[in-house]
Amino acid sequence: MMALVKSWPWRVGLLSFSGLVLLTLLLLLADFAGVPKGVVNGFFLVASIIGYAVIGMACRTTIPDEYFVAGRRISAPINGMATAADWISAASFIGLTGLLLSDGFVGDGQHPGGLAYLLGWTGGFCLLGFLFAAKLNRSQATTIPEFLGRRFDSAAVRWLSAWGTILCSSVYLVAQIYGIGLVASMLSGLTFELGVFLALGGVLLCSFLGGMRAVTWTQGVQCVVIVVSMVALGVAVSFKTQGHPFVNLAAVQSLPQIQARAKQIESDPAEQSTREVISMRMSHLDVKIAEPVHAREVERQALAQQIAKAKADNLPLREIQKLEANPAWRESSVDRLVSAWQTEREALGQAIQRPVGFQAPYLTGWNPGWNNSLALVFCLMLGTAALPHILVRSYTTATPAEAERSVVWALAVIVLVYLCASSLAVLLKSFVLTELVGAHLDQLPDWADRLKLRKLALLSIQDYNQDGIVQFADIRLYNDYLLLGAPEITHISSVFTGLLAAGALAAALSTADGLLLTISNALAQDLYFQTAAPNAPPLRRVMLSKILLMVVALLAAWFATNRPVSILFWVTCAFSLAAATFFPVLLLGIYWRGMNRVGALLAMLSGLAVTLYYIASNHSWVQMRFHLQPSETLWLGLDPVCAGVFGVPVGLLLGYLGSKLASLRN
Amino acid sequence: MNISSSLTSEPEALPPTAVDTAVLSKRVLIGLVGLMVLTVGSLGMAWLCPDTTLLHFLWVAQAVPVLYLFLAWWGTRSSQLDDGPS
Repeated sequence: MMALVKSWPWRVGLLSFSGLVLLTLLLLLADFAGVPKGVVNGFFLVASIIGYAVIGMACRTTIPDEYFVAGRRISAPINGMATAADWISAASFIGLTGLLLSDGFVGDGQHPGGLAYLLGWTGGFCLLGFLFAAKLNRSQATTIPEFLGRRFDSAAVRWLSAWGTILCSSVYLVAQIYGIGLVASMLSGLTFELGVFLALGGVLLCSFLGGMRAVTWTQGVQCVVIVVSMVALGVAVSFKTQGHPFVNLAAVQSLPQIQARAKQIESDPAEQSTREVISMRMSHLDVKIAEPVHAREVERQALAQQIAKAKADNLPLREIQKLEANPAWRESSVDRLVSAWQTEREALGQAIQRPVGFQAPYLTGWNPGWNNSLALVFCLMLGTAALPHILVRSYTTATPAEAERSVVWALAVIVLVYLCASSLAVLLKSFVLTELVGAHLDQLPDWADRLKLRKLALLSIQDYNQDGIVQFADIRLYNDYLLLGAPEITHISSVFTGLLAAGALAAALSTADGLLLTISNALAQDLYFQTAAPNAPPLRRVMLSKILLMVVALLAAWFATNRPVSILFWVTCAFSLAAATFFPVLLLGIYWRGMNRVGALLAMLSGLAVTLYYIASNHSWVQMRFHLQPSETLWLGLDPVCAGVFGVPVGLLLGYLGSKLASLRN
Repeated sequence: MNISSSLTSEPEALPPTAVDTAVLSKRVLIGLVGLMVLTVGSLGMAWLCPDTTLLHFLWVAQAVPVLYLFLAWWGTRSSQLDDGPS
C-alpha cells in the first residue's frame, strides 16, 4: 500500500482528489457565509481551467515520442483514467441522466430509451479490450491511419483512414466545443461565444504545449474531477431525499413511489385532456404541412386581425411580439415555414410519447422502439471500440497487457459514473412528478421558476388545456443539460452546481483535448508528412502538428458558435460513423490474413458512404431541400443516429469480397 | 529519445514494423458471446416484463454495467498472461 502511495502517478491522483475535496469544503463554507453564487461558480471555472493549464505547461514537450504517444510508458491505471476522461464527453456526463429521466428506460415504443445508451457506451469497452487494445499497442504505431497503412502496406489506406479519422473526430469535437461553451457561459455569466473561447484557451494550453503527454496527465486529473463531482452530487441528493449517502439504494427506495405516482398521473382526466389537445394540434399541423401556401395565407389573415386588435386595445408590446413571432407571420420562405411546423410537430409528439414513469404503458409485442434500441446498442458498442481518439490511447502504455488492463480501469471509472447518473435520474424524476406535476401555474416550485428563467433554460411549461395546472405533457425538460439543474431541483447547496459544472467542463475539455490531438496528428502525420514531406525532421512534425491543432480548435469553435448543436445527436452520429468506417477494417485487418488493401479501401469507403448517406438523407435540411418525407428515407424505421447498423455490415461484406476478388486477380 | 536527437534533421529513427494478423483466443470468443447474450438478454427481459421498472433499474441499469466490467477483466486476463511484457 505504501509503495502504491509513493509512486508519483498515484500522488497526482491523490493530490487532485484531496484538492478538489478541500476546495469543495471551502466553497461550502463560503456558501453558508453568504458569498454570492456567481462568485462560487466562477471560482470553480477559473480554478479548474488554471489547474489544467498549469499541468499542460508543466508537461510541455517537443520530443516526438512524448508529444504523440506520451513516451509509451503510462501505467495502466493512469492510462485507464485518461481513457475514461477522454471518453466521458459532455453528452454522456450531463446528458445520460436527462435522457433516462425524460425518455425512460426502454423508450416510448418508437425511439430507444436511456438503457440502450447505458449498455452501448459501457459494453463497447469489452469489445475494445477483447479485440483491439493489445494488438494496436504491439504495432508501435502512433496513429490509427499509420497502423492501417502499415498493415496493408498502402499509402492510400493510410490517406483514406486519416480522412475518416478527421471526419469522425470533427463531428464529435463540434458537439464538445458546444458543450464547453454552454457550461463555461453558465458558470461565468459570460456570453456563449466568450465562454467557448475562454475554455478553449484551457484546452489549447494542455494539448498545444505538451501533446499526448500533457493531455494524459490533464485527463488523469479531469477524471478525478468527473468522478468526484458525480459521486458527491449523488451522495448529497441521496442524503436530501432518503437521509443516507447511498444513491443507488435511495433510487431503489424512491422507485415504488414514482411508479404509483406515474400511474396516478396517467389516469388523471386532466392529463388525458392535455394529451387530446396536443393530438389535435398535431393533426392541425399535419393539414398545414400538407398545404403550406394556403395554410400560411389563412393563418396570416387571422394573425393580421389579432395584431390589429391587440394594437387597438393597447396590449403590452410583449403580447404583440408574441403574435408576430408566429412562423406563418415571420417566415417568407415556405420551406422554412414547413420546417418550423415540422419542428413544432416533433416537439408535440415527444410531449405525448414520453413515458410518465420510466416505462411507457401498454407497450406489448415487437415495436419499432426495440429495433431502434438494438441498433443503437450495436452502433454505440462498435463505435466505442472504433473511435480513433480512444484507440490511440492503446499506444501510450508500455506493453500490450498494460493496454488491456487500462481498458478495464477505464470501464471501472465509467461504470462508477453511470451507476450514479442512472440513480440520479430516478431521484430527479421523483421531484418532477411530485412537486411539479399538479402544481398551479402561478404557484410553481421555486426551482421550476428558476430553471425556466435561467439564461440556459432547462425547463419550459405550456398549459395546453388552459386549466392553469401543470400536467406532465405540459412540461418540456431539456435533456442535454438538465443534470446541471439537479442542485436546484433537490434543494442542495449551490456549491454543487459549481462542482457539477466543473465535472461537466472536465468531461468536455478532456474529450476535446483528445479529439484535437487526434485530428491534428492525422492532418500532420498521416496526410501532410506522408505525402508531401516523408523525410521531414521530427521537430518539424511536432511543430506543424501544434499549429494544425490550433487551427482545428479555432475552426471547431467558429462552427459551434455559429450554429445551435444537439450535443447528443452529433455525438451519437460520430459513434455510428466511427463504427462503420473503422470497425470492419480493424477487425478484418487484425484477425484475417486474407484481408488486403483493396478490401481495406472498400470496407472503409462503403461503410462511411452508407452511414453518411443515411444520416444526411434523414436530416431535416436535406429533406426540406429535396422535398423528401421521412417515410421515404428511413430504412426499417431506424433513427438516423443508428446509421452504423447499415454501414458496418456493408463494410464487412465489401471488405471481404474486395479482398477475395483482388487476391483472385493476382 | 531526447531533445537533442529530436532537433536533428534525420528522419524518424524507427523504421515501420510490419503488422501481423492475430487469432481470436477461446476466452475472447466466449467473452464476445457473453457480451451479446448479456446485452440482448437483458434488454429482452426488460421488454418482456414491461411493468417491472424496479427490475429494469436493478438489473439493466445497475448490474449489467458491473457485469460488463467483470467480463472485460476476465476476457483480457488470459491474453495478459499469454503475452506478458513485450
